[in-house]
Amino acid sequence: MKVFVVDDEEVSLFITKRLVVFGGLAAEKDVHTFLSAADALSTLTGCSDEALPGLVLLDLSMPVMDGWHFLDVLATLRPAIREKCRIYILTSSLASSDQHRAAHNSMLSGLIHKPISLESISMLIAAGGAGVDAVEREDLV
Amino acid sequence: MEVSRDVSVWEKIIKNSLDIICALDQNGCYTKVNEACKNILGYSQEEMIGQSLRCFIHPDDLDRTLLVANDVIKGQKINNFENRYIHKAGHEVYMMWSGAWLKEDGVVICVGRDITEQKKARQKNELHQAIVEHGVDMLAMLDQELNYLHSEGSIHRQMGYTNEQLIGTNALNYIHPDDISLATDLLSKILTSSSYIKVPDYRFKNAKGEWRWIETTISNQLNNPEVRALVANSRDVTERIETRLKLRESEQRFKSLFENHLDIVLFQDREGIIIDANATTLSFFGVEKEEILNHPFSYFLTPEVIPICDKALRDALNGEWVRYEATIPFEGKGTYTFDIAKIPVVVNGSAIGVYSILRDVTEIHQYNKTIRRQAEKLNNIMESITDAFFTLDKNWIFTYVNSEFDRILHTNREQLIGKSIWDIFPEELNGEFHRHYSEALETGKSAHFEAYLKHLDVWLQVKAFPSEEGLSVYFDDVTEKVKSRLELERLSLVASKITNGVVITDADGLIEWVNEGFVALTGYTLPEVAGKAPVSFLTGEETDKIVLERFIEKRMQSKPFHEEMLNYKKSGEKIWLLLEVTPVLNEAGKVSRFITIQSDISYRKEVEESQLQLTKDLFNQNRDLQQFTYIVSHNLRSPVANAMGLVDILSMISKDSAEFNTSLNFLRKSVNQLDTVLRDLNMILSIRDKRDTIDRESIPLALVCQQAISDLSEPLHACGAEVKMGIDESINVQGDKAYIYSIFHNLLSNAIKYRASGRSLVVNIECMSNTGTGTTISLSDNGSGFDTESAGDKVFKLYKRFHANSDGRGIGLFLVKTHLDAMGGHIEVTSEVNVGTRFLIYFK
Repeated sequence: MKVFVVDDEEVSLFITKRLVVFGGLAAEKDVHTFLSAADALSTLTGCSDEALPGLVLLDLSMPVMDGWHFLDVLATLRPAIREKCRIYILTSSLASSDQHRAAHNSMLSGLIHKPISLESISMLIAAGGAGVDAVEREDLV
Repeated sequence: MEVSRDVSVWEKIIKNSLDIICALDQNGCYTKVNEACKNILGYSQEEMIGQSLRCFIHPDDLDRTLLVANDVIKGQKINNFENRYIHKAGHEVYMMWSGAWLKEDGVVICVGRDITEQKKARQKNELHQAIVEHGVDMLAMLDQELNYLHSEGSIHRQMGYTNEQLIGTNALNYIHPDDISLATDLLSKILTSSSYIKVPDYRFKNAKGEWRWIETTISNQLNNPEVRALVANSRDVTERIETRLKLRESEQRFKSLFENHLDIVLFQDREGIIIDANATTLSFFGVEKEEILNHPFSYFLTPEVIPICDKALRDALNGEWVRYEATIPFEGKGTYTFDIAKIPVVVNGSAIGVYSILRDVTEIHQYNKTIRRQAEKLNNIMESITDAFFTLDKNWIFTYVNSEFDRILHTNREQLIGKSIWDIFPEELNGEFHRHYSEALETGKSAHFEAYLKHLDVWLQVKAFPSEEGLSVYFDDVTEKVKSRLELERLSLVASKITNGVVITDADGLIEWVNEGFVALTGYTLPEVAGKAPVSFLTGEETDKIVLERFIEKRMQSKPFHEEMLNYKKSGEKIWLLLEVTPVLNEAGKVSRFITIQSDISYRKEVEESQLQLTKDLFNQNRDLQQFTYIVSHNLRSPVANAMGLVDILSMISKDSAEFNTSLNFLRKSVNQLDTVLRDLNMILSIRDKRDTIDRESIPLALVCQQAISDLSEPLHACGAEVKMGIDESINVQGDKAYIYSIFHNLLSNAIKYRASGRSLVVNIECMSNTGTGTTISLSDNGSGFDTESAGDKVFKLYKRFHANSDGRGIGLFLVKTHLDAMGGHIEVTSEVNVGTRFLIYFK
């Protein structure tokens, strides 16, 4: 499955990518990382339906355009993206206000705390259903 | 023979007699007549003999002659009887007869002489005498020096001088001195002339010394040998002259009256043509006499008034005196009202023309109009007096009553006029009203009083003014006021015993009464505040305006309410008062006054104030805590989460793999980051704690700024930046040196960090203003800038970053703001993407 990770911190991107690959959610080549929300947004709004990832992991706290802003713009520019692709917030924040806000955003499928745990990855695989590639997973192991 | 000869002689005598000698028979027929008849009467002897004397005598003298003849026949002799015969040629012949009866012969013999010549001469003389004696002319003969030689005629009768008195005197002595020159002039003229000269009227003194007007014709007869004198024929023309003078005077008088008449006077003929017009006419119309004469008067009139004037002219021409008033508009002069009289001039029973006198009564008309208008106005004024008003004559009789009187006292004024006030209000006779009115009339001084009219249960406030005519009285129904005053007195009695402040105001909120409690609370006494609105002197600068407005608004609603308000005592000391306001309503449900009870709640308010401050502080602290929570959840959790993730990864991969090293490096970085955040927090908290205790010293801005610049000289130099520092060295601000250093250091670091890639950095630092209230420093760069609109006020928040791909932590601007907050200053920013950023820093 194709996975987009959006985070302004290089460390975070490294960790998430490694854990996603370890967890068997996606092959390394299918994990695309973006250091700014704007870059991710232009890719997501500019590609064909087939090129869309099955999953987007989105950090909240970013300069210039934060995660919430990203979602607002995406909802305006490509509202139909929800049908092709699940978007999860991946944040270090423990603030309940963020959780509450995430629960009420229709663009989102859920919120995951950093660092992403193997349990979370299993949940993502289960929720993703058809998107999970057993072969790739074996490769990971 | 002798007799015969005698007879012959007699016959000859008779025959040659120049007188008629004749004989008549008893019947009056001529029997004999001599030849003289032919000469005297034109008849021959033959023509007369046998004819009756009747045939020859003048018919007028016949009867008389026959009577005399009869007497003669009776024997009476007659002499010198005169009668007239008619000559054969037809003219009269005067005869003088003598006659005698000859009885024996039976005949009358008569001798008749023709006395026509004598008779005529005598007649002429008598006529002359009569003319001279009884005529009007005075005759005089004068020598060349005008000395009287002779006088005759009526001079004696008219002038009273006898001929003797005049002769030898000089005529000039009698002539009026003013006329002497005239006389002497004429004398010189007459002496060289031989004809008549007429001396016009001159004055001549009569015997009584009166001056008489004389007209004289002088003929120079000096060269006539028969006369040798100047012959003067004079006539007394005094009456004529006087008549003429009188006539002239009367004409002059009339002319003067006409010309100088102050009214317009003009004379029109039967056709209405102006024949004459006086000076007033000319000046009124502004024309020369030639311009108005021979024009019809209608020429000067507008069409609508012509018929009126024409009719008046016709009536006048019928011999009537016409008098009418007309309002006549004149082009360019406005409208005039004239009182016009038309007087016909009647000659021989018919009017030849009409005099018109036009008196300008425009002003009088105007006056009359004004008077009428003023009378109406006066009436309106009397009617519009909002007080009830009436006048009485000296016998208490109503002479005027206005409608308000009727309204208050339920009367019908038409029935009051002409009646005595005490007949209308008998119960008040000898009452209070009567007493005041009588006193006013007696003393001539006006009376002002309040009295109760029992039968209507009303209190009246009365002003009565005595005058020549009687009494003018104004009054007003003050029942409500009086009752309300009585009530106020009762209310005050109760309120005076209360220790709270009590204020009684009228419906407009003006103080009528305050109690001792009010005086104790505010320091103001009743005389100081009566008639004033409490808010006008009790409120002050710190009184909440909103509360004040609400207070005034609530008072309008006529319901009880309360309000807490900061008031000021007379001493200026603040006092918090609870104001409980109760409106007092009258019978009609309208507010008649307010009762306000004041309670001193200053102590409670102080407690409330300190509680409010506490709450405010708590709120701020809580807000800060919330912010910290967020910081902890994001910025503190972030490196921790990373560390946790890396630890997971490290446990999953081989120690020898390249990723292990990478992960280990990242772990170190994360832990360092964690440390940085903790240090930041510590620093921030320390600034916050120090906020109320920082040392406020005078800091030289330029020096501190220069310090920051030089400490950053290395990175500045590295990127080729230029810093233009324009702050004057004399400028000092109050604050903490370290904070100020930090402000410049952070802002300059940001400028370096966020410089534009395509151009070398330029930073301008200058002082915008430096006054007693503060100093404003501008720090601007030409860097990459950011979108001010989307960043909003977040730029100064902790860990907010606005540039991607940079190593900024989002704490610099937060610190700048925190430092300025701690020193009581603040900061503003404007920025444009790819143009630059400008900070305005306000130091207190």
